[in-house]
Amino acid sequence: MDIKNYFLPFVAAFVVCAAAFLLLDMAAMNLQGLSLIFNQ
Amino acid sequence: MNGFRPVKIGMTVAIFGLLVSLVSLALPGFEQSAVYAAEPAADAAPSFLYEPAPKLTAADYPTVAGVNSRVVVWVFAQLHLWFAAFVLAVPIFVFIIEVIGMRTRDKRYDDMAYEFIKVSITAYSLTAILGGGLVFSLILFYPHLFTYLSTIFSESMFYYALLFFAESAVLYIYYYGWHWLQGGFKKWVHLTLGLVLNAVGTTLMLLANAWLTFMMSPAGVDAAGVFSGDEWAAVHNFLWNPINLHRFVANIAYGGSIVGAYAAFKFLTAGTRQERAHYDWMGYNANFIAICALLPLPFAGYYLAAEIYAYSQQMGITLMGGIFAWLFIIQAVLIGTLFLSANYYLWCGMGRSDGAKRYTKYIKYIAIVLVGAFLVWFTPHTLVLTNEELKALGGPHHKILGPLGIMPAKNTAVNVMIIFTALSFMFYRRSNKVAVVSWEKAGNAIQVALFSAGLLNIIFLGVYHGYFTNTVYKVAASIPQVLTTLVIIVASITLDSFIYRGAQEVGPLRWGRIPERAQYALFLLAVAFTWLMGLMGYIRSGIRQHWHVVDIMRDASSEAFTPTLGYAANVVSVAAIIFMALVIFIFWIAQVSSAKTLPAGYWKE
Amino acid sequence: MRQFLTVVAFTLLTIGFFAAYSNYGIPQIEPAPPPKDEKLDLGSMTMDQFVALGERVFSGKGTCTLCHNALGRAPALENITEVASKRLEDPRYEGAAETVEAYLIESLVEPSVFVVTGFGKKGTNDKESPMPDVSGGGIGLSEAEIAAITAYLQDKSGGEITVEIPSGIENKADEETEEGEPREAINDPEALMVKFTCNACHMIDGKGGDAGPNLSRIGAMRDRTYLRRALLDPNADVAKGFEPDTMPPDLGEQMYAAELETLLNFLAGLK
Repeated sequence: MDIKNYFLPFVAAFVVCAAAFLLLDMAAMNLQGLSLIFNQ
Repeated sequence: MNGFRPVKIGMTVAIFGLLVSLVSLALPGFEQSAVYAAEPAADAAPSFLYEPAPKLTAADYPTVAGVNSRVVVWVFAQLHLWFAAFVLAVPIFVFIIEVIGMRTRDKRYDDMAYEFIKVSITAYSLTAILGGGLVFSLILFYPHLFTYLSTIFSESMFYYALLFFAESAVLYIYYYGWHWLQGGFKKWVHLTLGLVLNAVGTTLMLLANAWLTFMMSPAGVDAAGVFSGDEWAAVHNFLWNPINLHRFVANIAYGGSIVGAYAAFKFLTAGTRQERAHYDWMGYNANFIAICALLPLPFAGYYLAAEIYAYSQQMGITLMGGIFAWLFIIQAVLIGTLFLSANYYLWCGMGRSDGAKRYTKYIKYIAIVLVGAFLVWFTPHTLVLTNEELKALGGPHHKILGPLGIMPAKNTAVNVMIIFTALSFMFYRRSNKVAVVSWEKAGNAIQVALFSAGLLNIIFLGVYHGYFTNTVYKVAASIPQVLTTLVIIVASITLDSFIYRGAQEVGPLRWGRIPERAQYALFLLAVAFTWLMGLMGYIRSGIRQHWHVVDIMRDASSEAFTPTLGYAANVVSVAAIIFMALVIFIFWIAQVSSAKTLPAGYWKE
Repeated sequence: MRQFLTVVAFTLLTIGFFAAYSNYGIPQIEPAPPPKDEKLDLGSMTMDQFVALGERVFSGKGTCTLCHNALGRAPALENITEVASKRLEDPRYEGAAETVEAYLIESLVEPSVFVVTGFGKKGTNDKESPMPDVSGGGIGLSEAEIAAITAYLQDKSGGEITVEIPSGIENKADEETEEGEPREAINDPEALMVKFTCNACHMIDGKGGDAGPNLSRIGAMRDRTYLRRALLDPNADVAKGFEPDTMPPDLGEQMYAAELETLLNFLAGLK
C-alpha cells in the first residue's frame, strides 16, 4: 500500500465527499420542509 | 434504379393519406356539427354552436363479427406509434451526426448518418400506412368518438395533413439529395433541410400529442363537452407539454436502440472485416445515443406522473396505487433488462482495446452488484401464494424478502444500478488510455473515495429513511438519493477528464473485435424498449378507464372495461412481434437495395 | 440464414419471457367493471337501507375511499358531524351552508368552497381542493346518491340523520339496467380484499385502515369458526375497542361460497 500517494488522498477525499454528500442531503431535505434526522 | 421503389411506395401512401383525409372531411358531423345559430341572437356577431359530447349506448358502436374492435384500434395505434417514434427520432440524431461529420471532416460520420436515414425511409412509408389504418379503424369502430374529436380538432387535423406532405417532400429531398448536396455551401443547404425536416416532424408529433392528451385532460370544452371554439385551448391542455417532453426524449432512446439492432444485424451477416468494423462502430454509436437518452427518461416520466397527479388526484391514484401499480413491477423487470444488456454490451466492447485487460478483473464485481440490485428491484412487496405456501410462510410478506419489496429499497437499488453503469462506462472510456499526469494514483484514490462515499450515502438514505421514519420522509429521501447519483456521475467524468489529459493511447481501437454475443445485447435492448413502450402506452391510455374523453365522453362499448395486466401484456406482445417482423423486413429491404445481380447472357451485348 | 433464424428465435424468446412474466409472475387482478347506473327504489326504502346505500356509494361508485382513508390523503370523516358544526363557525368559511347537512352537500358538489388547511392543491394556498365535484362527469352521482352519502356520513359520525329520503327525483338510470350478468368468482384472496374493500378498515402488515381490528396475525388468534361468523354476522362479536355496525353485514350475500372459503383460508393463514 502506497500510503503517501494513495491512502492519504483517499482518506482526505472520502472525508470531503462524505461531508459534501451530508450537506447535500440536508439541503435536499430542508427544501422539502423536512430535516435530515427524523422527528415526528 | 434502386431508389425508385421507395418513391413509389411514398406516392401510394401520400395518395392514400389524402383519400383518408377527404373521407374524414366528408363524414357527417365533421364540420356540419358546428351548426350556425338558427336564430341570430340580439348581438349581430355570428356565433357557432357546438353540440355537447354524445352520450352513447353499446348500440352506437359498429361491430364486425369475430373482430374485437378495441384490440384492432389498439394494435394499429401501437404499431403506428412505434414506427412514428422511430422515424421522428432518426432525423434528430442523423442531423447531429451530420454536424459532427462536418465539424470533424471525418467522412465516416457522414456515411453513417446517410445509412441511418436510408433505414428510416421505408419505415416512413410504413408509418403512414399504419396511421391510415388507425384512422380507418377508428372511423369504422368508434365513429362518434372520431366525429367528436374531429369537430374540435378540425383545424389542427387539416394542418397535420399539410405538414405531412411537407415532411414527405423535405425527407425525399434530404435523402435523395444527400450525395448531390455535398461540400461547402451545398452542405449548408443540406443541413438546413435536415433542420426543417426535424422542425416539421416534431410539429407533427406535437399535434398528434394534443389529440391524445385532450382525451386525458380535456380543455377548451365545458363540463358537457361543448366546445368553446378555441382550438388552441384544447391543444394546449394540461398534460400536453409533459407528454411532449416525455415522448421527445423516449423517441431518441428508442430510435437509437432500433438503429443499434440494425447495426447488430448487419454485423452478424457481414462478409468482410471492413464491414464488421463499420457496423461495430455504428452499433456502438447507436447504443451510445440510446443510453444517453435513456438516463434522463425516468425524470421525464416522473414529471409526467406528477402532472397527472396534479391534474386529477383520482387518476394519479389509479396510476400509482390501483391495479396499475403491479405494472410498475413489470416495468422494473424491463428496465433491469435494459441496464443489464447495456452494461454487457459495454463490457464486450472493451475487447476492442488492447489495454482493457487492466480493467476486466473488476467486471465480475459490477455484474454481481447489478444483478443483486435488479433482484431487489423486482422483489414484489406482497407475494401472492397458494394457501399452503402462505401457511408455511406465515403471511403474505416474506420474513426476509418482505422488507426488500418496499419503495425505498427499490429506489436504492435503481440508484446503485445507475452508478455501476456509469462505472462500467468509465472503465470502457479508460480501457484504451494510459494517463500521463504525475498525480494519477491520487486521482484514482479520489475517484474511489467519491464512489464509496456516494454509495454509502445512498444506502444510508435508503435504510435510515426507508425503515425508521414515516411515508413523507421515505418519499422525500429519494430526492437526495437521485442528486447523489447525479453528483457522482458528473464529478467522476470531470475528474477523469483531468486525469486523462494528454493521455497516451494503448493502440488503435480494433473495431469489429467484439464477440457475436454482444450483438444480441443490442437486440435485447431494442426488443425490451419496444415492449416497454407498448406496456407504458397501455397504462397511459388505460388510466382513462371507461372514458373516451375523461369525465366528458363515456365509453359505452362492451369493451369499456379495464383488462387484466396479463391480457394487456399479451396484446402488446403480439403487436411487438408484428412490429419486429416489419422491422426485419425493413432491414432486408435496405440490404436488397444495395445488392446487384449480374445475369450472364440475359441482356443483348 | 442461420444468423437470421437465430435472431428471430431470440426475439420471440425475449417477448415470450416478458409475456409469461406478466401473466404468471404477477397476480392477475380483475379491475372493477365500469359503474352502472343503479335503479333506486327510493319509495320503499327505510332509513337504514338508505344509509347502507350511502355506504355502498361511498366505497364504490363514489370512489371516496380512494382518498378519504387511513392514509390521510384527504380529511378523515369519522367525526364529520361534530367537525362540520365547527367549520360553520370557522371565520375562513365563506359558503352558504347553515346546517351540517347543507355543509356536507356543499362540500360534495363544490369542494373548493372550504378547503381544510393542508389539504388544498399544491400552490393554491388551500384555496382550491383537489377533490372533484361528485355530481360532475367523472363520478356522476345523482342527487339521491349524494343525499344517501350525506345520511351515511351523519350516521357514521354518530350524528342525527337530518337528510330525508328524496322522493319524486327522476331516476338517473335511463338505460334499461339489464340485470348485470353474474360476475365471475374471484379466487385470489388479495383481489377479494380489494373487491370487498377490506383494507379500508383492516390493516394487514402495515397496510390498510384502522377502523377495524388489525388482521396481520388473525389466524394465530382466532379459529376458522370464529372468522366465518365474523364475516357472515359481523355484529355477533365485536372486537374490544371497535364500533359495532361498521362492517357491512351482507358480505354473505355479496360473496360466493367459494370466495368465502378462499378468504377464510387466507385469514386463517395469517399467523
